[in-house]
Amino acid sequence: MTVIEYRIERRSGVPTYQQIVRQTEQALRLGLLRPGDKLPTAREVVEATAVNPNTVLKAYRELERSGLVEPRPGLGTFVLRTLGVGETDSELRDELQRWTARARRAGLEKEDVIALVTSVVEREFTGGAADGGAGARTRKARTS
Amino acid sequence: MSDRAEGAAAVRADGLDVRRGGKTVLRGVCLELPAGRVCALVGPNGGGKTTFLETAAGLLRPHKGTVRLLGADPDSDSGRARLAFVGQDKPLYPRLTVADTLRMGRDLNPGWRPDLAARMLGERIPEQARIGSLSGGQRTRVALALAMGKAADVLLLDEPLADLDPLSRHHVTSVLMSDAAERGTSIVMSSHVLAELEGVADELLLLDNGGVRMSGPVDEALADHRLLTGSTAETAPQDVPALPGVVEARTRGRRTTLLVRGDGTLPGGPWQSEEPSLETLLMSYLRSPESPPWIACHPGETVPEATHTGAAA
Amino acid sequence: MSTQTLAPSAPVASRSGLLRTVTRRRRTLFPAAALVLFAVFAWAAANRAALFGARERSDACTPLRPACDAAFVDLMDADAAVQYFQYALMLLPLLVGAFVGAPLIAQELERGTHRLMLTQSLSPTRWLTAQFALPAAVVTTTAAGCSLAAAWVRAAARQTTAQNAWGRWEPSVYSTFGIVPVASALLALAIGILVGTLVRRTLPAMGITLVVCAGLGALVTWVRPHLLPLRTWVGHGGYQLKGEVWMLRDGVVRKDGTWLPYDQCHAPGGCRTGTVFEEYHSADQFWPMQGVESALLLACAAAAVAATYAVLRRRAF
Repeated sequence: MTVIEYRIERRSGVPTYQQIVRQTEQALRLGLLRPGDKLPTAREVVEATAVNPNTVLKAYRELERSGLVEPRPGLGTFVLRTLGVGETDSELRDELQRWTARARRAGLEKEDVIALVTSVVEREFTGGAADGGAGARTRKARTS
Repeated sequence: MSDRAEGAAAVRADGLDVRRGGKTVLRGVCLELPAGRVCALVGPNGGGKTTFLETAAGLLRPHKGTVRLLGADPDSDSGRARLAFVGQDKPLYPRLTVADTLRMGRDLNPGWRPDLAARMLGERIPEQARIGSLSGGQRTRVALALAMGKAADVLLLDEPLADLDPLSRHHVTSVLMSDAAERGTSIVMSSHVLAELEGVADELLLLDNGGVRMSGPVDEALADHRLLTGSTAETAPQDVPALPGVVEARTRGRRTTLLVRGDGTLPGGPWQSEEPSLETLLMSYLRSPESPPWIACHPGETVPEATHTGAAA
Repeated sequence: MSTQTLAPSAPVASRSGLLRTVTRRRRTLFPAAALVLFAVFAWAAANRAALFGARERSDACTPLRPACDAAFVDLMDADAAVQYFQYALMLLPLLVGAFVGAPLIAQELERGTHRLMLTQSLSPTRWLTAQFALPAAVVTTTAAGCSLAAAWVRAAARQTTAQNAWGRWEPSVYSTFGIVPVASALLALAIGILVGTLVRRTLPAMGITLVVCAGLGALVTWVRPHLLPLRTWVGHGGYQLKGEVWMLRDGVVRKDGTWLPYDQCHAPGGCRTGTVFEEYHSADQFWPMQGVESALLLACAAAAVAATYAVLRRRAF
């Protein structure tokens, strides 16, 4: 009984563990995964997607760290909570909708809009990059 | 697996020099590939990938230095029992049948696991077919099945995916990864298709011109580099390549793309910063052979120069 | 370089497993050997039948009649056929070297299958030993069979034709008779394997093996008279030696005591001294000489085998 099946796109440029994390989050948002559901075992994911077992474990750790899932020893990894579209989310979404419409009226193509958003997001979240670096260093220490 | 030396690296090379036909193909290679991981061995043709794998498999004698597999000499009974090797040209005896070939594996390897071999072989290869009548991809599967059945601790695979169709490639990768998950097998596989390695390899080894250009965990390699994009007008591109930490700088029209080491804070103008993909990272290192090597620090690893005499004694 | 082993007894391939593998891999060797033996014995039987038939007819006929001449010609033809048979058997070592020895390792190196074998659970030395052992056993059996066939035909030839032409010392008899053909086949096998290991390509290795084996054959024929000390006989008359001897040199003893071979008697009557000398190998030296020659050939074979091991151990390929 597999509730979620991951599809890995190797040439997308998105790291594989992130693809697993994103697809899980997506499934939570869409209600395909609900609290109490069991994620497939790392072994099952590996067999189906031919990705490195450590990558799957890394993705599951990431999901665990964000509090979405919980490993129960000997049983598997279970969904803890869902990712609903909250009030803030819909508010922001409306705002973005209006902004996008305005950009379109101003003559911007779809790609222009995406490039613009990406550059702003990247600049806004540069702090996150530094976090990633620090995270890597902690992982480095762990390899002992 | 029980007698595996605790904490020993899957492959460890100390000051390794290997000559082939009078030419030094590997020069002073020092590296440590941790056990239980999947290592991608990449590099240009003639960079030393095949020579490295054959030396690790005990097929070539190092001219200088040592290579150890889980602490054992690959050219010893205990070393050979732990390793399985599949060469680039997937050599098999063309007149034997598939079943004969697998029987040979059983006869020559006391720890033979028919289930592992059968899993790699899949169902679509007739057992009674002669090897000579199989397609290149099917032959590769048989060669890999022979290696899998040995139930080795370290798999050394030279271009295992090269002549496989997408379906077989998925099958082979999935069986390899399952084996890594189940038995903790260490896998070293060379590949030309960089994109195929994404999500498969968690350890990276880039060999170029007989030396190590990159060595370490994939996620560390990615986290230790940033891909910066900026406008040429704002960033004084002529000075950029000389800055420390810049692996590669490419200018296209008004856009400059840099691959830099570290956290990516560069003076001189605003840069859009992102984590590079594995393919981008490798391509940058391959295109700039003069940039210094990236080698992750493994705890307990000694300084390469000091190991030349010390470890061999 | 020290080979440090962590596990006290690493799992290695069993002897029976190794034997099964080599047998499976070399299974064409058995029908090939059977075919050779069958052909050789069939040819030998045909030779004997021709000899006895012609002899019977020539015995039965009245001399100086055309039928008798025909029977005699038949006998000569049958005799010549036996010679061809022996020449063919003399080629056997060359064929063993070129077709069994040379491809043995060269083909592995050419196809890269040695990389497959040397990464199974067995040491290069054991692999090579197994590679050697099976063909060596098959070649020994085949060569011994051929030697028996040659003896069988020779016995018929001695019964039916003039005895002296089939002496044991005749080169074509000597090298197809007794234990020497077995030893030379094994040497050719070892040479072929060594050449194949060095040259690493099948066809050139086969050619070089042919040349080397032919050269060695000629060398051994040249050395043969010197393998054992010559016997000498000095006296009056000559040609009184008992049994099958190998006459190497004969001539006269001159007044000053020097020996002059007959072929150097230039002046007519120059050799008329009454005392003659004969240098020869006696009949009882035949088997010792076969033994010495076989030992020499096998020593060369052992050297070739040792060289092959050395090349493999150095991984000089």
